[in-house]
Amino acid sequence: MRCRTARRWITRDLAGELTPGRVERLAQHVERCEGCRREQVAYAALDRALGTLPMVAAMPTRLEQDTLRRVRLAADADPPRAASRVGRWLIVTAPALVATAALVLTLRTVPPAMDPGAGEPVTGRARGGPAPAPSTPKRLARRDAPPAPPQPEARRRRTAPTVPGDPPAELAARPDLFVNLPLLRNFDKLQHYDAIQTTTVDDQQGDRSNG
Amino acid sequence: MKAAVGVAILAACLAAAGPAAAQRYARDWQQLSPEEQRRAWDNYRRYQQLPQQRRDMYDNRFQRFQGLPPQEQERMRQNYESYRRQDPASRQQFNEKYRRWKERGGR
Repeated sequence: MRCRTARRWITRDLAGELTPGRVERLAQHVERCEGCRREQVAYAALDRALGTLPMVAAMPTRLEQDTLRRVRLAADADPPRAASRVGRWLIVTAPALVATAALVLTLRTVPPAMDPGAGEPVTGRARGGPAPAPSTPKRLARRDAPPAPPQPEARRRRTAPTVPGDPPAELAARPDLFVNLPLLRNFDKLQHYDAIQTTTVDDQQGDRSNG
Repeated sequence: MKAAVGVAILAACLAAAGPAAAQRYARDWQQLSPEEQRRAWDNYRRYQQLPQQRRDMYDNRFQRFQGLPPQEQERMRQNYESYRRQDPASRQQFNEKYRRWKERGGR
């Protein structure tokens, strides 16, 4: 197999689009080709990094408005002929500039997505990404954990921007759903809280010892 | 025949009473305190990032929660506060009991 083919297959393999036979052939090639091996590691790292990003990056209104204002000012400041050229240039590049700024902001300021009340980032699997490493007992215990304790005010401000005066329709329609989301996450436990509290685990050990 | 009509009407009333009961205690956004609005907004943003299957799970549980009597809702809120305030060791023990309780079929 040529390296060119292998590198094309590496990306398809990460997307899960490669047939088992080709996966095997790719593995054989990568095993003896250091360049492709490095390439595969780099692609896999990038894939993981992208998997931790939220699906939708919220563009801060201020950044959006500032960018558009600057675009308008730049367009107004130039003479007509130049403006037409600049205008065409801006039409082409402005969306790219805005998208780049949003991506930079996302990478620097947006925290990993959190499952409500979990106190733990949503994994790539939860958003349809690749399966995570096998769970450990510690990890299972963490999934059962209630929300993290209240954060310092400064950090909270970073993760939760100002509440909009006019909330989205879904939020306005069922605000109690979102207020109670951590509670809903543990619905079963909380509904049978007393019964669970009185449950003994001693006979479980007995059950295990009895096979 | 009359009995069948009566049963049908009763069934229709019961079917309508479920959503009505669920809506009875629903609040408007404006009725939330600023702290509740902040929490709701924060959780809403997280909810938006969840896969559809998980959102559906929360929607179903919310309907069940809204269908509970107010005192039962209040009891669950208090239980949540107790659960939240547990130290890590107590919480781990509680979760172990919960697993055991589930294994026994929730008895």
